[in-house]
Amino acid sequence: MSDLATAPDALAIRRQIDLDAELDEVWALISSPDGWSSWMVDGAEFTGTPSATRDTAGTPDADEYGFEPGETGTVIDDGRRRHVLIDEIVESSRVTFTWWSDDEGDAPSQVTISIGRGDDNRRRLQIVERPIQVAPQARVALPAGLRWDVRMTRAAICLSAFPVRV
Amino acid sequence: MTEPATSSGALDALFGALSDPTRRQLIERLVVDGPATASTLQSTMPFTRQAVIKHLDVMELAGLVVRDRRGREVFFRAVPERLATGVGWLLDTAGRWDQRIDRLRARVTSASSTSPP
Repeated sequence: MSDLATAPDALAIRRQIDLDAELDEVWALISSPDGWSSWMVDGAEFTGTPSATRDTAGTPDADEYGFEPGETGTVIDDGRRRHVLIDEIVESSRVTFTWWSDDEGDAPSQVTISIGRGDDNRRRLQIVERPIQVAPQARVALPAGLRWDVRMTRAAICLSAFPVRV
Repeated sequence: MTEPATSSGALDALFGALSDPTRRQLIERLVVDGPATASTLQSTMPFTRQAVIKHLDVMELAGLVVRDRRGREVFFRAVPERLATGVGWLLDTAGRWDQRIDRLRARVTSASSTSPP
């Protein structure tokens, strides 16, 4: 996805943490619903796809599956229900997703969590969250309470990658 | 259709408007120096007056500026409350990640302390 769809660094939240943990363990924490639920959100529910069931042997929980690009789900984040679209997965390296809530005043944003090498040979987790602009023509209100239809959101992100030049 | 200032659509527009460095420069100028005409704003920037007006139009749609007609001149005025909305998102988001990182640190520390040597 083009970075043009997201806000510039000046409008991004950045955090990083060095963890004394193996790569497999850190990857499991950022690349699966169970991993997210253990620290990032209160709960995560993804429908998954048949191909999303993959061998995670070596991770703390071999029964969990990892995310795949295009997968959608919901999380409970600080008491709020948020919809999630997995944008990109780079195995053992990076997860990018877009999330948004039904709450008024909450903008959709894109989060990238990447694993690098930190100090003292530890794993460095870097997190960047940027609000994204969604083209107005792609905004849809769904009767089921969803503010955005996931497929339309993806289309909107593509549209907003081609901003009007002024 | 103009959306309520509190809707996520309005917040989209706000961040979209602020994503351009020229527009950030313009809003900063209006906040610091107060209301100004497009001609005044253009005089200190390497753009045409028309280009400045187009940027101001985008910011007006996002609720970042309003225009006041004074006789034959149109003054643009910053709306700091809208900027506060964006700042609120940043503070809220930052605070949540701080909490998540605390939980992650505790999670990893707990796992390493219970794992066999």
